[in-house]
Amino acid sequence: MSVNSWGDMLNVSEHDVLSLIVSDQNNGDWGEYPYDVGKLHFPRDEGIHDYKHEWWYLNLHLMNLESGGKYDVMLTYFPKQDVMPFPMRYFMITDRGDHTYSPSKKFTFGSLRVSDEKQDIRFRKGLRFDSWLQLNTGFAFEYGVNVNNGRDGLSVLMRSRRPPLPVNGDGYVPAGVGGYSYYYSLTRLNVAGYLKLEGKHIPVVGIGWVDHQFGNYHKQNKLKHMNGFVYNLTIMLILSVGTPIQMENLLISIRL
Amino acid sequence: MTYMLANNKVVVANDSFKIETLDYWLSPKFRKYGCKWRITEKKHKLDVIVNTVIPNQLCYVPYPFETKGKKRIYLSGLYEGSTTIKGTFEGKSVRGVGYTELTHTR
Repeated sequence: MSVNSWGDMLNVSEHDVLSLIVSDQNNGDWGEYPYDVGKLHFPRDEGIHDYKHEWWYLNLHLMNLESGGKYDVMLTYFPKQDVMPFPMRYFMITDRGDHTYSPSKKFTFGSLRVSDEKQDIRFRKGLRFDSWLQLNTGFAFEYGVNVNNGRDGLSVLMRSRRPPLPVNGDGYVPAGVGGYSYYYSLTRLNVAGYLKLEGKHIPVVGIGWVDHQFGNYHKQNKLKHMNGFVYNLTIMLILSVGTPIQMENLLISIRL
Repeated sequence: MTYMLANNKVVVANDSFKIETLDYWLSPKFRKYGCKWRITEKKHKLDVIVNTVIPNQLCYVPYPFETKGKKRIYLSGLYEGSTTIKGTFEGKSVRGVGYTELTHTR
């Protein structure tokens, strides 16, 4: 199956995949570190901060290069925090074809080590190790991600095709009474590598989205305040005209 | 709501967007979770319908909170799932993919 035959929804072309391997992109002022936008400073703000709350969130929309099957991945890391006594990882793989998701236990407590200078997350549960690292390619916003959850896992390379989106315009988001946070998203990453599902390695390509929030704010004091609240809704919209590469130029990203 | 347009321009539209829940999924514990939404935004004439791929994709996660000065952890059933999107943006047909995280309503 060719990569282009899959591009109807997820907009990944052969060029996208090749561009993951060859570092040929010229992204202007955001293509190399250091890069500042609004109140955010990269690569520093990809690392850990000294706030009450912080998390890194990755969503992937992937295609099985052998079968054409579509998968979505959610991966989140929470360090030890004021109200969370143990570091934690969420990891879930969704099979869009048969409407199933795994693993059955989606959160895992473990030990977490995060750099305060750049994207460098290392998570350990027993003899299983995860990592989410900045690649040493000379370009900004390129990563390697490895998740080991026994029979399920992930091993991919990711390259951002867009500069960081500073949520709320400058990356500063008021949060509740007296609270505040800093927030950015990488709204369009090219992704290639392997999924591990039920012990089987599946070659995949696709697109991804990163959210990183950190700040001092209060969680809801009463559960009734959580009533039906949409925390996060990330959308990649693709105009349904043109060739895949032209569609790339029309893509917009929205963070609610 | 924050957009990034095709030319990487960032647009903040916090006062001009609206989310309506069009449908719910009822959990075995009789908790209602949104599973279909309409999102509209005036500045860019955005009008899209967002559908969950798997309505019951719950993720029971430890959710920390404070009540009466005490820190507690509640095992919360959050919806964490993939979505598909169809609609219009500035008068043109659009489609896309997304991910949604939300709590239940009562």
